[in-house]
Amino acid sequence: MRRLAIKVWEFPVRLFHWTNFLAIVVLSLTGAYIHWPFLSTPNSAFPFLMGWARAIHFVAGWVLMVGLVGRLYWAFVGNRYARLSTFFPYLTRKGWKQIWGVLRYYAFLARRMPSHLGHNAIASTAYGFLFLLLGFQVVTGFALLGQADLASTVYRVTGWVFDIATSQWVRLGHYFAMWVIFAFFITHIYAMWMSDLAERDGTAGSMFSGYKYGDLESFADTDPRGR
Amino acid sequence: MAENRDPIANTSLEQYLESRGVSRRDFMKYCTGLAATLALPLGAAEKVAAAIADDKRPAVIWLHFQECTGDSEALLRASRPTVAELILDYLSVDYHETIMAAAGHQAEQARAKTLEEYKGKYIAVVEGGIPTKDGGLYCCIGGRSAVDIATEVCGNAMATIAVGTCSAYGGIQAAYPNPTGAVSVSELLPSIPVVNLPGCPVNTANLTGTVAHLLTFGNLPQLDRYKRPLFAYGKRIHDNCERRAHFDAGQFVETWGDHGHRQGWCLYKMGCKGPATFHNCPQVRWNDGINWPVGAGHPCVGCSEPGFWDSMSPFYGRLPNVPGFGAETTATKIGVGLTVATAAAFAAHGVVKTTQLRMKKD
Ligand code: HEM
Ligand code: SF4
Repeated sequence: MRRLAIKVWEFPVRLFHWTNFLAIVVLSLTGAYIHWPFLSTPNSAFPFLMGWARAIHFVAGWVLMVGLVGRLYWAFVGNRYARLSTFFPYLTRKGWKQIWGVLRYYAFLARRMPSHLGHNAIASTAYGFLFLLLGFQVVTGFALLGQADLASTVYRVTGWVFDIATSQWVRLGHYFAMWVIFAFFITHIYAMWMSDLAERDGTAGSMFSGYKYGDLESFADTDPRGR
Repeated sequence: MAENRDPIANTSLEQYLESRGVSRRDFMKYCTGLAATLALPLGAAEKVAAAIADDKRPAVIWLHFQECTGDSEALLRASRPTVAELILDYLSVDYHETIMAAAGHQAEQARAKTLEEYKGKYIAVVEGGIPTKDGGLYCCIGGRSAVDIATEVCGNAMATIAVGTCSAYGGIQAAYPNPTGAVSVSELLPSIPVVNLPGCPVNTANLTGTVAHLLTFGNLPQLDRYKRPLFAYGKRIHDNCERRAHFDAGQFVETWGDHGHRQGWCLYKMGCKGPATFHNCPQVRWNDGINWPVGAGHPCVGCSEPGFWDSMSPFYGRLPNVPGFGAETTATKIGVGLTVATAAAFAAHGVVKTTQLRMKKD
């Protein structure tokens, strides 16, 4: 059967994917250290250890915020695979059919994945939740940051968070979300690897090159121009 | 109330202080400190002094509900009478169950009289949470419920000062599961002017500061989103802590009495809640400015924050336990569990999948 290469991920999608990835890795490492500073500097060999961890965390926090806002913008102007609606398949009847199909496939009950080019329905549901979770991290993170100066713009913009939950609960949520992100990360890597292996669609390389591969049949309901 | 005011009824504040061994100089020194606590500009001390020494002496009704009297204790049982105490004495506390001479019906009458005479002009000070469940029967004084008394007294006051964490946020009796339905003053009466001075107990410096502000400017100090005056609760403990340099350096106490503890390193890993707590303890300190918990080597427990008992415990852990999972269930345990379970599930799925693919190939 003829194999087709189709441009799926436009440049901004790939760019924000990798800046967000880098930011999340840095935020997780520094965040874990902020939560439990396992390295101590008993004799001031490396002064300002926690200071650096926090400073890097905050810079990466700004990067993540910009990356999320940029990706959100692209969800409105980008191609069909980048659209906001793809992250919420469960809002439509057709989406539910897709989700069911993917579930059966994952549970070894169906031989084939329902045809899709962007993400499959369950994957896009997961990414939708991930974006919400990252949004939660940005909001709670900036709220915690703003506490250092009640007169700051950051606090003025994010202080409402503390009308909903007191600062320890905000911290707990911010901390626990890190574990959820870890669990997502494992899922993400496995799903990427598995889909690359089983569907032979080039998923693994697609976030670098932008292209996915497949036969005509699996693209049946997609537009090869990527629009 | 006449018998309360008797010893000082016809003396000026200065005479009164003089008689207690407080010189004009001490008084001015105190007012300067107060002006600094209030973050007022240079020279404001004179104004504060004049306002306090003025003969207006607003009447004060001090109410006790679900509480331990710790706030009154903080005020009254200092090692030696402080200027602050004497001034608060002088402020004609017309009704204060713990310290007033009158008792029983006589006391209740005193309150009724002040209420009538000074309607809209007196200051109500409330200590303790207010139980609302079952018609408020869990706290009754003189046959009336706390809800009833607070509604009448605070509702007719010029302003209400909620001293201590209990009256500011409900306190320990409002902690989960809050069997008596305890609430704070501002939860019970959301529309009246209230200043919260949380802390367990309230720091007397902040109480006198608030009163001085009221006397000097005729209005309440600027408040934060939890109705706490910014002059006292505008900065995080963590951001003014004397151990902060050790935090930034990554120098932490790991166990009680270890090298770091003896060196005065940061108490973050021992569960310090300074990073989540707004209070001026590092500057004003306690017991006449002698020391404060972190200064004495104990982590801050966050007593002046809303939800103190529920969200600041465990005191020696950094974050609260996850609600709904039973005691001792930390976010870390659940997080590690979640991550390991995910990895295990996909490992299993991966084994099946690769076998399937291999069989297809053969
Ligand atoms: C992937 C996203 C993120 C992860 C995984 C993450 C992780 C963490 C963790 C684990 C902590 C320690 C919490 C504790 O134990 O108290 C923390 C603290 C913090 N994070 Fe994040 N974070 C993320 C995003 C952000 C963002 C976007 C900001 C915004 C600038 C931010 C600002 C902060 C602040 C201000 C603190 C408190 C630091 C302190 O107490 O010194 N975080 N973060
Ligand atoms: S002792 Fe507490 S308040 Fe002080 S720097 Fe350490 S964590 Fe912050």
